[in-house]
Amino acid sequence: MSRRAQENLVAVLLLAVFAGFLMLSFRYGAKARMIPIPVAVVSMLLVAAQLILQNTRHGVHLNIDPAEFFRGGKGVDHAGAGQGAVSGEEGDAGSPSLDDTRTTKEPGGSEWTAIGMVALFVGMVWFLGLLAAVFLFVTGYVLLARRKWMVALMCGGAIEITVYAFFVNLLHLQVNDGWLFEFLNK
Amino acid sequence: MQGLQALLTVQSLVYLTLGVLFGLVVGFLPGLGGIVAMALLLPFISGVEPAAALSLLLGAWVATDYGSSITGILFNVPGAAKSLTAMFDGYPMTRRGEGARALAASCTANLVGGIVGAVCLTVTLPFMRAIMLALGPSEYFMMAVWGLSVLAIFTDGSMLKGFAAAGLGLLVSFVGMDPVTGTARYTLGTMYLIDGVDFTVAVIGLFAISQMMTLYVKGGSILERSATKVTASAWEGVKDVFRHWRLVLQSSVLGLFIGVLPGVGATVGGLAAYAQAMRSSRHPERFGKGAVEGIIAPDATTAANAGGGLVPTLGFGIPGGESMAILMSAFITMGIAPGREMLEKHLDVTFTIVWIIVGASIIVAVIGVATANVIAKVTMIPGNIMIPAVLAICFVGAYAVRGRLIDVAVAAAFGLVGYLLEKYEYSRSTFVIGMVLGLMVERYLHISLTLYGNLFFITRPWTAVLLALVLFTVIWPFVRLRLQRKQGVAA
Repeated sequence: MSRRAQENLVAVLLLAVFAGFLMLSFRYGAKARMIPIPVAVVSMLLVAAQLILQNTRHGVHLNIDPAEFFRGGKGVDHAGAGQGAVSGEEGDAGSPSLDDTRTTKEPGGSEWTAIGMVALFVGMVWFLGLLAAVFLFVTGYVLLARRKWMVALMCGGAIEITVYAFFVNLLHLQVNDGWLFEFLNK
Repeated sequence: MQGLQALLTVQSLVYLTLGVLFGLVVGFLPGLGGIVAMALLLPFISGVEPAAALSLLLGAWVATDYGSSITGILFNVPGAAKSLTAMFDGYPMTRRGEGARALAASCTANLVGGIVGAVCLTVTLPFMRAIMLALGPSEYFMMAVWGLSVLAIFTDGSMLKGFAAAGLGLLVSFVGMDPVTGTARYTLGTMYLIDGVDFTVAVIGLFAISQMMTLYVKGGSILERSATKVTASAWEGVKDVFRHWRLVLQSSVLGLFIGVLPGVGATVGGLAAYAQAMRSSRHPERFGKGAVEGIIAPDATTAANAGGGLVPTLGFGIPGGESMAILMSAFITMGIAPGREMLEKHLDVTFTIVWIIVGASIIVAVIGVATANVIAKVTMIPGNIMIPAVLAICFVGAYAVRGRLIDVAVAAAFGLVGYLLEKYEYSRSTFVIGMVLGLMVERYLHISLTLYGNLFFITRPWTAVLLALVLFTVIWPFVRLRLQRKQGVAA
């Protein structure tokens, strides 16, 4: 899928979210919807403007600068220039196909794997409990990254001890036992 | 001098150091912050001398500011809402090999801001009461709108996307029980959303988890060991603060006055200081790409804010924030009643508190500068060790907020949202700013309309002044661009 198609998809998704907020707002009283409705409407207009401009004007880049627009000029592509973006390198704001030729380094992975990894951790927390999930996830990840067993166990152990010391011991956090533990104890 | 004497005992100094060390660690961990640090230390103050007890609590509270800045600068993860601005320029500096410089600039600015704030607080205490009484809900509303208007500066170059992200953040802040009408809004029938989306959980997902996802996809580490040399030492960061002494002074005074306003908070102060630094800079285009002024100004403001926040707490018994509420409960435990007497009969206790803030700032600065070079090297840890470690700590932090498993899933969901926002260049920072200020804007607007009518923004003089400031903040980027274009044509 091209970058422009992806951007259009994201903009449409945002539009749908704002529309959802707007529709839900009409269920509430006048005071409760006084601020949300204008915010949703204005946000929808902004996203709609972004969507229209990026698709109807050739040569207009995807990051629309309204100041440039008001002056009738072309937009300027400010990829990677915003705060919080990984700066200093062009086009590396979360792009999955970053080409870093500076030095040999560990290769990156795919986006779907990254999403799956996060989902796996959440699933492990639910299934095994927080403490077990932390140890197994960290150890397993380091091991799968082709590190030695000892390194993996040390990393897993260090994080486990840190979590236990600060959160469980000091903060008296009540950790969940996990579905498996509860099932086995029935 | 009596206030200083109470601090200069072995017990008080030991407790102060312990509090600072504890605060640094707590501030560094996601999901925790100043209020958690103080709450954890409350059981340890019973039976202890008041000066030592206050040293422990306030030392931890002051240190969490720098602790949460560390994560913003090194990992692009704000440890707290008030440390949002640390990552705007701190993280780009880290990527350039100037992490130690950024850390040292942050803690030194904290020190200078804390001292300036304490000195100004001492001098202006008699006038603060008058200022507080002059400002009401309509002014607080305008202050919150001012905080939102600063977005116009941050989103320079991607304004449509930036404001869309801010709008999304505002709407997310409205999820849950409306504090004005008691209506459950956008809860989709679930009990979980009755309390709204927890800010800490959302931030952990939006920044920490999404950042680790980005790092996984990109490969390598935050800072490549052999690719980018460390280009600036911690000492450079210290010198930067004194090079920009005017900016530090301006930001400190700004932080002091914003801190006086209960409920406005350090977040607005930090944003305002960042905007002010950008406006007064000769090269505003450097901001957001690793300008050290972008760290110095907000950190000085946040540090001075600490002193300002004491005024409503001590003088009126109105907590200037959540952490101040903990402090007030500590006062009551020690038999000290916050209120008018703190500024009249118990002025020595008030000055002890001021000196404690100064002392804590000094200790934080010494530890910060001494360890900046070492801490900055954390960014060279290989990604396949850092990613699982950070993810694990973040998910535990998300769980620790309310002890609910669903928060882990919500953090993961926000992680995905943050990844997409980052990839398609919708500013996560403006999203979070919208989340922070949304409820504040709504609450004070309703109160202002009820008290002063529909035209309150014109009929109240200070509100009208703040409205003019807001309009100036929104319009100025366009005017500046036009002027630059004219100068470019003329050249």
